[in-house]
Amino acid sequence: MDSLTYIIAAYGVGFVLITGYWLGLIWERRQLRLLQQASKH
Amino acid sequence: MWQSRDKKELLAGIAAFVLMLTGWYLAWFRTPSEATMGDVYRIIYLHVPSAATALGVTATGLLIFSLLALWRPQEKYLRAQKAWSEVGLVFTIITLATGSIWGRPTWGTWWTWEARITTTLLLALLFLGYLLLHHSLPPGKQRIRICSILGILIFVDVPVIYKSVSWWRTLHQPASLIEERGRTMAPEMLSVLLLCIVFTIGMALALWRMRVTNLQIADDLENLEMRRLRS
Repeated sequence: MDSLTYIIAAYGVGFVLITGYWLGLIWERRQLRLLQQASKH
Repeated sequence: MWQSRDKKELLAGIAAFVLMLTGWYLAWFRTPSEATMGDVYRIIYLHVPSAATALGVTATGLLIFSLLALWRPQEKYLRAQKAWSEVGLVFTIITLATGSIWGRPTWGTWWTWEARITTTLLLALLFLGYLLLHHSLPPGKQRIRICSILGILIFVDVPVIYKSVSWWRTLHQPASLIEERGRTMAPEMLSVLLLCIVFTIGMALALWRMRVTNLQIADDLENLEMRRLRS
């Protein structure tokens, strides 16, 4: 494997973990706000 | 549905994310190649900031809120602890994974049981242990107390990780950022590395803030449900 493969693999792991966690938090917030709205009615 | 607080946190997250990617761009295209390692050294612009975030920010954040919770046992401090543990686990995994990927072409191995790597793995397991403990205990002052004690114990691993390269004979290179004899990196590399550290910490703070609010909303909903069931 050349240098570029290692670099892409490393940054790929970082990107997937950070973005995945962040998008998960946004999705969770959306679900919580929906539950909050439903509980008011 | 989205409230102004949600929008603010979302915008802060987008700003932090864009800055972090800008740091990566600088690392990839605006820094010179390293004399002996070539281009593969560029992994350090993700590895070192992730390690600095995991050790310097998330573990420290966990320690501060653990001490606060022991002083005044309140659920808000426990939520802050839990959020730091999650963010800490994410950045410790990135540190281990990028270190492993970097180790293959430079040391010739994906993994070795040397002091710094092993103590960093221990930190990841401790963050995971904290989350399992938090999940397994019923809500109340006892959970706050027990989790806070573990939070303080987790921090003990941080100076051990930092000093591991000087305490033991290890494969891992010694500190190249802060060294007693002075700087060991070229200024153009060091400036980008410092920027990447700042931007990664910014991303960690944005993630932590968002998680704390999510936990608070979830707790509010649970309390509301409990009140309804009682009445």
